[in-house]
Amino acid sequence: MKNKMTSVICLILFSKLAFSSSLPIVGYGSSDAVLNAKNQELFLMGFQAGFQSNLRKSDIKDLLIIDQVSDGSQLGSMKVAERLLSKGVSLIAGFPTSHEALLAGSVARKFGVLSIFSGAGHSDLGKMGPTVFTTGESMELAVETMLKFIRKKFPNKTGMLISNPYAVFSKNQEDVTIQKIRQKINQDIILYPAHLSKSLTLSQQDILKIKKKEISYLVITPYADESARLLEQLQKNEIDLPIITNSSWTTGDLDFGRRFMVSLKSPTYCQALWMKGSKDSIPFERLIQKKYGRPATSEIANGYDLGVIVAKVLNGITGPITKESVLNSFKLQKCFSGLSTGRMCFNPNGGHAEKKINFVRFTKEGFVPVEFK
Amino acid sequence: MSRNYPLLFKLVLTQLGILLLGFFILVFVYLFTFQAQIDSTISTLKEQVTPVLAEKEEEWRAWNYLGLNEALLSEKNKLIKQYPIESIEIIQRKDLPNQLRHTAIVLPKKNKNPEDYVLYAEISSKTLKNAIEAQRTLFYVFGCVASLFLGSVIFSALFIFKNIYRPIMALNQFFLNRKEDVSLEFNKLNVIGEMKQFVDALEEMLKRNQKFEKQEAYLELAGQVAHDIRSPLEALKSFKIEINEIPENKRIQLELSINRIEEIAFNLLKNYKQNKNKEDVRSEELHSLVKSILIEKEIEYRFRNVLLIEKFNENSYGLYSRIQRNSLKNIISNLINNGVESVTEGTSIITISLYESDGFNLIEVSDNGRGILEENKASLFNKGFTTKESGNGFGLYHAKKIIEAAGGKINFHSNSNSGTTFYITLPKSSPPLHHLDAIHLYKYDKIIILDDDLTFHEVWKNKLLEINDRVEHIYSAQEMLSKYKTLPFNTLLLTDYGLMDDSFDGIDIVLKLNHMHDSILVTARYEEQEIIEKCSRYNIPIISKTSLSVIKVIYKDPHLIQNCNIVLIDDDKFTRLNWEMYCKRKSISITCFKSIDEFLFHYKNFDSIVHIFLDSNLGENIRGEVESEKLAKLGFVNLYLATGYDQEMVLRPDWILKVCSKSPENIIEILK
Repeated sequence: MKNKMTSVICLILFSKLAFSSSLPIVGYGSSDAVLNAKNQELFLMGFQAGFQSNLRKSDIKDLLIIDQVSDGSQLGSMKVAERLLSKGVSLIAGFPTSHEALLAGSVARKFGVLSIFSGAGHSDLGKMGPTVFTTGESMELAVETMLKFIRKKFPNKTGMLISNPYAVFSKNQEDVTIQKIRQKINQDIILYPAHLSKSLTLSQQDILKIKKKEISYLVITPYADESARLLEQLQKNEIDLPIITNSSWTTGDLDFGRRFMVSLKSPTYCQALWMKGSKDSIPFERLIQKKYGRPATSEIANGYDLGVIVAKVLNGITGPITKESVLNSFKLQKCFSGLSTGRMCFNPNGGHAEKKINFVRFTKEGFVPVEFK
Repeated sequence: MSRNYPLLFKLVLTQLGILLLGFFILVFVYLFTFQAQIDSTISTLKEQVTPVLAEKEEEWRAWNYLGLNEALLSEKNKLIKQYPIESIEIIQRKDLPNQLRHTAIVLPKKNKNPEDYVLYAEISSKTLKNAIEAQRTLFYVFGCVASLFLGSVIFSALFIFKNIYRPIMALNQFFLNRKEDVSLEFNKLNVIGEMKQFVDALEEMLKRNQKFEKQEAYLELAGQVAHDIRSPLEALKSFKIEINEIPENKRIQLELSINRIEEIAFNLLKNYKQNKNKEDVRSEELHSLVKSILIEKEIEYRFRNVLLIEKFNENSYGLYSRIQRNSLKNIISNLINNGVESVTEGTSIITISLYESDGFNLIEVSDNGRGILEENKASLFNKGFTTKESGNGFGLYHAKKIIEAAGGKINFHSNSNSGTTFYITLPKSSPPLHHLDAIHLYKYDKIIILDDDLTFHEVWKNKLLEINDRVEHIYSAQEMLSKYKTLPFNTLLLTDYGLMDDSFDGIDIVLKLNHMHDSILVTARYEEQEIIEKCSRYNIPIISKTSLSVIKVIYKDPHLIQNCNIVLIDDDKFTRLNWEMYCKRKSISITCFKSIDEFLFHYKNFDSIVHIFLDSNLGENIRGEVESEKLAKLGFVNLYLATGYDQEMVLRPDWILKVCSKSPENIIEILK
């Protein structure tokens, strides 16, 4: 068992704000069930930067409570959410993976507390009702965008849809992809499904299939760090095929697979929400450089966008801060600008943010946008 | 059954009770161990499975929340295949069965929220079934053992009933109805093993008992006869005094016969009183035994043409063998009877001999009859063999058995028409303490004969003819006691046991006179144990009246040193040794004594003319010249004083012939 280390940090007193409640209003939580602690920290850094820089009210006290679990616990996010809610928070934020968001969302929705997660894309998050939201793109949208990309780049070619049945995001993407390619519009797309084993590698049968050149491209649904063993296996088997991945590769830590990816001749395509150096992103990047003395990353960008949204929700509250007033403020605003990704809108019925999904190509120097319309 | 066979009923009931108890214990133990085994198995399986499930539990619950059902199913199936698990479910706590089974595992344990999902697993029933099956096999084994035990109980009950109970009941019935003279066929009891041995022993005992009962009846009859015979016998004895007119030998014969009848009557009565049917084996004096038979036979055959010849001499007396006295008497009596019967014409001449031969005592009974046919010789000692019309064939068979039981032999020599001789050879035995080999009269100056029977006084007169002047005859205890309060030294008392009309018997007289060491009991009742014990206690020898004719009378001491010329009485050992050495060289016979008292103890062994040398200083202030007077008074005439002192200085009494030195060389001079 991993040593359980729970750190609860109660901080951030904004003496200038004048909220009458003595209870914390925002609970930020995360667990390392999927993403490691370093990535989680990047999300938090971004969140704090966005939150602090956008909060206007000066009479708010004890606004934020942060609860993180870093013991590898699979239900860690659930426990964190329960703890935060037990402390009476009116808004749940954080939980930047689908795994965390789904578990925390299932707890928060019971309390009717507004929960906004950063970057989680699982399709089930859209089914959790009008109090659960995520800044992540919708899985349906992501898959549709990916299929469009495939149709354009690899017409009439057979690809392999590689998924990790033990990872919720990957599995969800596979499910949605299979569901989508059954649709008439996608009939020309042929994707052969392959599952990673517990050791996160393909079976020999699948490898053989690839080697026989029956496969022209690979669609990798697991996170970049989960795919490191797979990339190593491909390299060992001298498989060099174009790879198409999701947005987690641009959000998560790509360094786990960088060693293998740089050796590939074939391109590696990823989906991306935050485009570094874009017009919308530059103020954010400067802020981060100024605040933390380091360049911004997609994790920080994700956290930043959530922090900005949460701050704007609080800014929009006119009366006493309650979970209802928080929810009302969120729903009234609906769309939020000044984000690293520009403007982001939410459906009042809950679910994913409506935003543009871009495709980028991996290079040693970084991601390069790919036009495919 | 309980009424007819209470013992068997109890046995079977007890065994069945034990069996039932054992069965209940078995069931209890089985159920207990069964449950314990199940619990233990479940516990073991849970211990094996729980950590594995605990490791997965949180992940699986997360997967359940996240909808990773395929992964969950795959993992669950994998685990079910790998471990003894029946099923695994992730369900809400509220959906758990109300009553959880022992085989159920619910994880996590701490979570009590009914809405929360938990891992609910069941231990594999197949594994449990296997454990139960193993337990059942054990129960079957127990069952088989119990059945075998039940079988053994039934078998043992039947076995006991058939082989022990039924025979015992038959025996019991037999004993109950024994007075009604119901016979039991032992061979039909159908018994085996130790029970057979018991029944055989019982049968043998019953046979012996029947024999004993017959003997008892005979004994009772004998007791009655003995009792009835005593009155006329007493009358007969009272006439003994008046039969002096009868010739002496006839008178003795008659006397002995009366005594013998009295003795037989006494023995019969005694045996009857003591309820004895078995005679003791003792060391018996054979002469008196044979003689008593001959006396009987003389009377028996006095009117028939039978001549009984005794070939006894002085050596015939004092021969002892260990045997049943009456049995041997019967054997000899039978042999005499057979001998008499074997003579069909003329005088039957029966010769009885008794002598010692090669360390054995030999009794010979010869007849002049027709002899034994050759064809009968081999079967003569066989059981049931007889040539007589009225015989039963047991006489010689029993004779052989008895003689052989005593370590002896019986055989015969027979020539056709020249008679038959039976030889009874018996091992010699030590004489008893009360035995007297001869009457040593040389020790005594006076002999007193105490007997109420005049005829025996006559016998003694003839026997002691040489020394009749030293014999005193006394006829009753009263006379004896009135005459003597104590008896003088060197007086021998020969006394009868039963003294008519006296309240004292012979032993009483001896004890009253305190003369045990110089008295001899002379009685016809020498066989009676009571008298023997009494005599043994006071060390009084016994002589049978019947053996008077053969017992030796020794007038002269056999130890008398006929050729002894010199006697030296000196307390100095070296002086004695010196004289002995000297005499040996000179071939002169010498006997040395260390004191006068020692010599006086043996003085009768020496002739009165022997040369006696006395030391003048015999120690302890005893002076030879003084003490020598005693020797002079005893008739010793050649007395000398040998002294180490100056001879002139020694006073010489008149009875001392000469005073000389202690040098043995004086002997030569004196002998010259």
